[in-house]
Amino acid sequence: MGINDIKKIDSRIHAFISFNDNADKEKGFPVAVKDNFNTMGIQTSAASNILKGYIPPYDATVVRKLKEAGAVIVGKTNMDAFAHGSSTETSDFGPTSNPWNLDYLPGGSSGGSAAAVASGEVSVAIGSETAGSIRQPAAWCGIVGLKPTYGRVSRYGLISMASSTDSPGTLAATVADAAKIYRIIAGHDPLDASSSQQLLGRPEQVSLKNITIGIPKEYFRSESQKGINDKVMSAARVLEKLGAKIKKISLFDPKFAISVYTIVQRSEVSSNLSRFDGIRFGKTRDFFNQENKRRIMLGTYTLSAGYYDAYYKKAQQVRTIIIEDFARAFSNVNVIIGPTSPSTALKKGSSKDQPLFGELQDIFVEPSSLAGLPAINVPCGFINGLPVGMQIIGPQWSEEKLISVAQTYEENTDWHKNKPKLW
Amino acid sequence: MNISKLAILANLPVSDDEAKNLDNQFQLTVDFINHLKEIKTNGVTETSQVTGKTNQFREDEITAGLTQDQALQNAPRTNKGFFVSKIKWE
Repeated sequence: MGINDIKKIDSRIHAFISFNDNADKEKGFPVAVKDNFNTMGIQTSAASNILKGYIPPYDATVVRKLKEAGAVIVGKTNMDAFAHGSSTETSDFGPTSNPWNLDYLPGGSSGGSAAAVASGEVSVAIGSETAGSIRQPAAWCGIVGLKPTYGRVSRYGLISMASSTDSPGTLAATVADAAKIYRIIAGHDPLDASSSQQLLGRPEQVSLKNITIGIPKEYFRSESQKGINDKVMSAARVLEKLGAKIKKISLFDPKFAISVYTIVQRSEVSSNLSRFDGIRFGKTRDFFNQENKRRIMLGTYTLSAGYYDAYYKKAQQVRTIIIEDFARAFSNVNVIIGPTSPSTALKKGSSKDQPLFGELQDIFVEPSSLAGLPAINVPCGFINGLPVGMQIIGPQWSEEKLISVAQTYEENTDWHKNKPKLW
Repeated sequence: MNISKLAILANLPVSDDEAKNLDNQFQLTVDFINHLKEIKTNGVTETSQVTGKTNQFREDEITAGLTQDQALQNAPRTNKGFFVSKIKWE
């Protein structure tokens, strides 16, 4: 699909902030990149007025690896400004529409990337996840979203949000495509001291007869939208019919992960965003939007003298409990399955003036993000024309196992073949 | 919670109207996160990072970085190859 065709579709959904108008002349496979990855010579704004007009002098490692593999960057996708959200409507450049219903949100913060894939503008896109920002928009847009283990993919050149959970990953129309791009971008990077030397696993064909799936009762809540739990359990039963064992398990209540994540993320955000001083690059700090200011200030509070122990230290201790809880679970099961989101996509405007909107939406993804675990979202049904997503979570470094299980599910279902009608 | 003081600590300009709004929203957030007090964490070590890595070192050799022009190219104000910032006199 040429750039002009992409722009025509984008006039309906606004998935992109900027386009590479030379893309048609470049040879290679097209990729869309979330606008918080530095792209040399191409504006990188993080969807914020602070960085409007900022042209990076270097490529993020993810971008460099993609180019070396023959990718053509067709454009930079919309997101919540500085990734502060789960809707994409806190972008300073206008919201993105969900291709399944233009009055609805695509999710976030990688909402632009998700919408670009769901609408057919591109078949693969790069996103980043701090807690849910790949999986949740993938669920709301009915596509595949792969969040690797923290440390698996280099964060060099990714505009930081929460340094201890930020994970670049892939969004795609199929598991195979998400996996293909993941294998290109993953791997140790000496420019990112937090990136792991753990070797990438080999692509594997896992027999489901060797897989025990954990179904945590705490992720199938009565407060979730009617129909979500049934759709995801039906999806798990598909895998059971194909040979997997299902085991009911109990996990540490994810409602506590909301608070842990709120504190850890905002604390790290307050530190990371102190570099935006309007001196070396970008505009002055009065250009931060309300959500950005809210998060920076709460993080400043939770790190300040007299409050650090009660909030940040406490949150990091509860984080240890969450990590140990998952380790215990994975000694009895191979993967954990649950809904990615407690609802299908919400209407535009839903996140306005809701200080905890994102965190509440991301209740089922925050625990695994805090623990640095890999996970993949695959579409598993529809409710009232809007997609439902199932997430499969694995232990650290188990991406290839997750890919194999997700691929088997996709091969035995047709959800991924549905496409939205934009006109 | 003193929003004005927090704004100074966070180096963020906040108008009086913004401060009023932020105060309400802050309280909602703090009320929510306070439930962490219910969880017993005596003797639990904090997690700062999940990969178990320790400090990474490399040889002390100069490697290529940005040129001076590249480093300055997005600066709003420069002077003879330097960034220009506001001077604070105490």
